[in-house]
Amino acid sequence: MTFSSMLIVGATSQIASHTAYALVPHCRRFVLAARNSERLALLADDLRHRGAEAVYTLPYDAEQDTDRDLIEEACALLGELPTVVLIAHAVLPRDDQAYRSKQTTREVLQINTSSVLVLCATIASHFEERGYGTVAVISSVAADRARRSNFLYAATKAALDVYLDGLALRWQAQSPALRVLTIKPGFVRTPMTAHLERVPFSVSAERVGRSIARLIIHGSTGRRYIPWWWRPVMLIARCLPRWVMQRIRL
Amino acid sequence: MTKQRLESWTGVVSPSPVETITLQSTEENPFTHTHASLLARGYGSSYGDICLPTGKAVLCTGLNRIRWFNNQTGIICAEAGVRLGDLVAVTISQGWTLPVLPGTEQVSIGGAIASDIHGKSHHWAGTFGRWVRRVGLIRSDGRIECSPTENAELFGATIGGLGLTGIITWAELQLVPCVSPWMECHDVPFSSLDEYVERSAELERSFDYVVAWCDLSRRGVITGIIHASRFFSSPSAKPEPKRKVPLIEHIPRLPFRLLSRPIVWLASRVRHMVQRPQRIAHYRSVMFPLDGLPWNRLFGPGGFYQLHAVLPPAQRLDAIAALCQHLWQARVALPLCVLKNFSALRSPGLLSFPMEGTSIAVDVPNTPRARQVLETIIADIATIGGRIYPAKDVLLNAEQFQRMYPNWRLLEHYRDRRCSSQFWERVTRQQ
Repeated sequence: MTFSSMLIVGATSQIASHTAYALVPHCRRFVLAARNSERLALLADDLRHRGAEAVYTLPYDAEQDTDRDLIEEACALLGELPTVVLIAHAVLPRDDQAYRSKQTTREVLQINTSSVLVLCATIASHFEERGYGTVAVISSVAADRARRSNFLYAATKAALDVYLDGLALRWQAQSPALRVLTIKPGFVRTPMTAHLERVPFSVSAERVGRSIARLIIHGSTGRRYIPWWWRPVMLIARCLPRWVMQRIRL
Repeated sequence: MTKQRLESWTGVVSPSPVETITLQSTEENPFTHTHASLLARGYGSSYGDICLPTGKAVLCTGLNRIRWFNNQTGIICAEAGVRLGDLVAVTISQGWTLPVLPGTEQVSIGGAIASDIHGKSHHWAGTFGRWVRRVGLIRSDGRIECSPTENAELFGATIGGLGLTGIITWAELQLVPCVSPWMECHDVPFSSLDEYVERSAELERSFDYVVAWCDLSRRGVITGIIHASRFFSSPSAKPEPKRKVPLIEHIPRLPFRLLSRPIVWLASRVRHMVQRPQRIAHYRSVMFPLDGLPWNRLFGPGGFYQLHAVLPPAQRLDAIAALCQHLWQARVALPLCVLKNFSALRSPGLLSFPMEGTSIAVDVPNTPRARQVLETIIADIATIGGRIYPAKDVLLNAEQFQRMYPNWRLLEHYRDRRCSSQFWERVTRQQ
């Protein structure tokens, strides 16, 4: 499938930029939104030289810009609504004690959850009116089962999962051309996870990016795990009784 | 920041866990964050300890942007972490390719410059360094650009400079035109070294990419196949094959050595049988044959060495024959041996490996006996004036290295005082 335009929020993240690289042959025009405008400009140039027809940039800070309608702005740049929206921004609290800080909790919740849900709300109203469109959101396998570390992050992502599941059910009843894709990558080696102990079976941002591109091109919907084997792994993890989780120190 | 042991492609592991700094943009200066000595690192494709730092590693894979590309002149400017395979995938659709491509696409531009890599095209293209127009470096005293005309000495030291002259952040490269991604390939068998020399010289006149696979699975007999290929000069409508995504990224090492002598013998027989005199193939399968198999994992827990040497033209036949004799004495499987002629084209690099002559690369499983044999072979190569490739070496001693690369003192002069590698410590230690 090829499509005419795409909006990527959090475009300078490694996963999102690799997704964009892999989508260049399939998508003509890109709108990139991210916080760091210097890196945004570099990425835009890069995509142009890789063969994208047009690349626009939108500086966007998920923490501060709560009232902006990114979809409207992208629409103004493109002259049409984007066919695909990929939401890729997130923060991972570095400190293991983050859950005790009011400020961090508010910040993580705003960036990972509130800003995404607000975006989804505008996307939903625009897409439902038009009758087609794909929204792809990067969640995490961490959201499937709480662990004693990073549960704040897991909770913010779990909220996304539930919301997107509901949206998918609603859209499925409306039209097969309205698609919700919840992307659940496992442990990815990116700057966001650079401070964590490296785990076995981690994958590169490039591989995740290529897989996301493939899912978008194929028009996949629902929860998708990357790599696929995380699905059975998380199925088992969800079934583990709590006393087992107490005993394994994860 | 966590510490972890870094590894080369063949499984040479850093002696202690290493802290890694990740670079996200060329504007960052890692030297300001730390007082330790640094070494840039890409995708870890080198075979020896040149990719292992003595202090901290600076991971450059985040520098993966193409800055600009002029498809009229074929000049591209890209950040150092761009993989050669990705670069060519982008440019080939616009009619340009890199003149020098190694046997794997998993090499970053920075690594290609630091090792001044060569490829199947050495007879007309020379080394990678000949096609570099400009390099951006971060040194401990700031940013600096160098080219053959500006800071020329530093440029010469950086080409083949093993990453010791600073952290390479971007480079400007000259590409060559190429209309089609498809190649015309010929397989020409040879049954002796004399025949190889004769045939390969002949093929180099009409083909752009020539390399020979040499079969050492039968003791006392050197046979093989020369692979000669060139790009089609007219565009083709054939669709591009898909790039494969590997199922598992970090394939664990096999617990045993799969490449035993009977298996290698059998595989070599099959390879002789399945050769096709002429075929059409996509450039990726021709240029990057090593990426098809998790080669480094098949040697089992011990891993392997690759002996990669260039022998001066006068003694090359005797030297290769003697080298093979020695290897057969080690009684190990020799699954891969590659022969390639180097032309007299000079590289701008001070410590560039290629020189006029024939290069031989042999994969040797890591056994105590093989190591002994390799040590004698390396000593012999040093006495006849040959060279060992630093990017693949773990066995050279300081005296041998300094004899092979008399320019090493110049590199030591241009080396950033805050850049060092395990390799450099080893081969310069005793002076």
